[in-house]
Amino acid sequence: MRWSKVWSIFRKEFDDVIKSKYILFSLLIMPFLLLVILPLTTYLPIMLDPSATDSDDLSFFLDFKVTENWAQLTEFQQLFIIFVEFNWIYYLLIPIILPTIIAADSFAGEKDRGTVEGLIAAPITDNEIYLGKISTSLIPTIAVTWIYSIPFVIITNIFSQQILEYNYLPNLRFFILVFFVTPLATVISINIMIWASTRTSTTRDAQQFGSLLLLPLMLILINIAGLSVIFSNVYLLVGIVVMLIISYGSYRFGLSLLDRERWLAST
Amino acid sequence: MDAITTKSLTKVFEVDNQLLIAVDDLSFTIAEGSIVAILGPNGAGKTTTVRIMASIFYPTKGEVSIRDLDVVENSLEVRSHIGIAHERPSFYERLSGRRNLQFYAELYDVPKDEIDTRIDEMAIQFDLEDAIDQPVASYSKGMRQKLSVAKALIHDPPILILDEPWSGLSPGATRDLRRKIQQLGTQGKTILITTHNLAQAEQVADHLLIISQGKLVALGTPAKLRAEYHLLFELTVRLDEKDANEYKELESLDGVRNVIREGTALKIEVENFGKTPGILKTMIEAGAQIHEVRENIPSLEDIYLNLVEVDA
Repeated sequence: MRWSKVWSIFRKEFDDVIKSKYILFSLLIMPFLLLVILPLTTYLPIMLDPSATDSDDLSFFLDFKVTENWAQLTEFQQLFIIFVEFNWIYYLLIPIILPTIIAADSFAGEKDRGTVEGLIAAPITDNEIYLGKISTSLIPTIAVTWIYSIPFVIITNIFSQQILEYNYLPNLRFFILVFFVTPLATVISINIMIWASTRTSTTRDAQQFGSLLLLPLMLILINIAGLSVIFSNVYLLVGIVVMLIISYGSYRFGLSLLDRERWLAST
Repeated sequence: MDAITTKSLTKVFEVDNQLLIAVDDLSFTIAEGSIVAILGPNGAGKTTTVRIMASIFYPTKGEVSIRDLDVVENSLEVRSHIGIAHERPSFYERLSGRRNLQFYAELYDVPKDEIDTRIDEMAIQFDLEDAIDQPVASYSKGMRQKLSVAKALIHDPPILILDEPWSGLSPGATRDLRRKIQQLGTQGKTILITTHNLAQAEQVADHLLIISQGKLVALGTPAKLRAEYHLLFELTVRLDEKDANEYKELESLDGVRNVIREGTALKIEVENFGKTPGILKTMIEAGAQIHEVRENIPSLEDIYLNLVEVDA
């Protein structure tokens, strides 16, 4: 493995990606909506009208012990924490959805543009191409997700100070979800998109087909995030181990699909 | 050392559950420094052959060596010996010509401190100085073709493959590219050109490699192929009206194959032009008034059509 080649591919792809207004817009706006606007629209109504949380529909959640001090909290405070925790579900949509946009452009885009032949004629290995291209989707997605975690934490803590009288984030679940689940979900999502790209001939087809294939991953992540709130972080750790196995398997599978002849023949 | 050697090269593709033989038992050798035009009808296997040489595809059977390196076992090294301008000159459209060339220069291990100098040299050589920092999306077809050849040359490879380089080019751009190929040929590079443009191929190629239905039909210099396949030279002699009917007996002369009358002209097919003085002497001694003599060498088109039609 020659990392200089992987780096060359990554830098070229990155230069290319940031020149696409569509991709840049998606990279900046989608996390803004999910990690800034959505928390605000969740927390503000609770703050403005606490009586709205008295509904019997929400009482189901109060039976679970989400934090160590759960018993000492008021119902209003407990519901606020439940709302914060369920925002993670939106958070985890970012590492699933963003790579679909970049990876489709990166892999299926080579076929669309006809640049695939120039790439595979160069003295680089399949592994170097694959890693270079994966990095192009992986690094911006993780970077954007992590950067947008900051306003998410700040907004949450502004409300948390008012309701709980302490900063609720970051907590252990935050670190697990941000530093373990997010990269793994991104890797799996990218590999699914690569698989979709090898089966389709245009970027648009790859995005549509790939998005369909990503639905089960979304459900798994929502399940992991949701159940870890209800049960414990142990559930989250088991989920991470499963995702680790799936990530590695999907990487090997994706690499095996990078058949030069098939890639070129499908252009 | 030969530049390229193929032994029983065969490539089979599976298309819709059917086997398609794209290249069938090709064996040939190309010497270093040759300029070879690879000719053949559509679907003859030209592009597949050069893709195997460039180690983009691997052979189904047989062997291909580039400068004594096997294309399968030494694929990375083989690729670094070759510069290829593809049939569709495709680039990363949002990036500038310079950024595209930088990327390929890095992939082909051009030393970092030489990359910008090389790109500037290429931009001058290919008349792209004003466009090199513009996005490729703004380039014309001719500019893309030039950039494609510049890309193929960025690492100064000893072997250059040009796949349909004249496709869609204007007459001016066609001439410029032809001159550039001729200039590269004088630098000792081995150049392979797949093309349908016989007129251009005739002007640049010193060898012809003709393929039809995946099989090798002929390989050699144009002169060798003319001789090998007995293509006839044509001598046109324009005479006075009164003389035009009288020289059927020329067919009996040594080296003359056929005599056809066209108006006041006689078209005399001969084995070579060494017979011309003897023919003219015979006619003058017989009292003919000769107004004009023209010698027509069989063109590349004649050779190509003759060989491909014979093969078909």
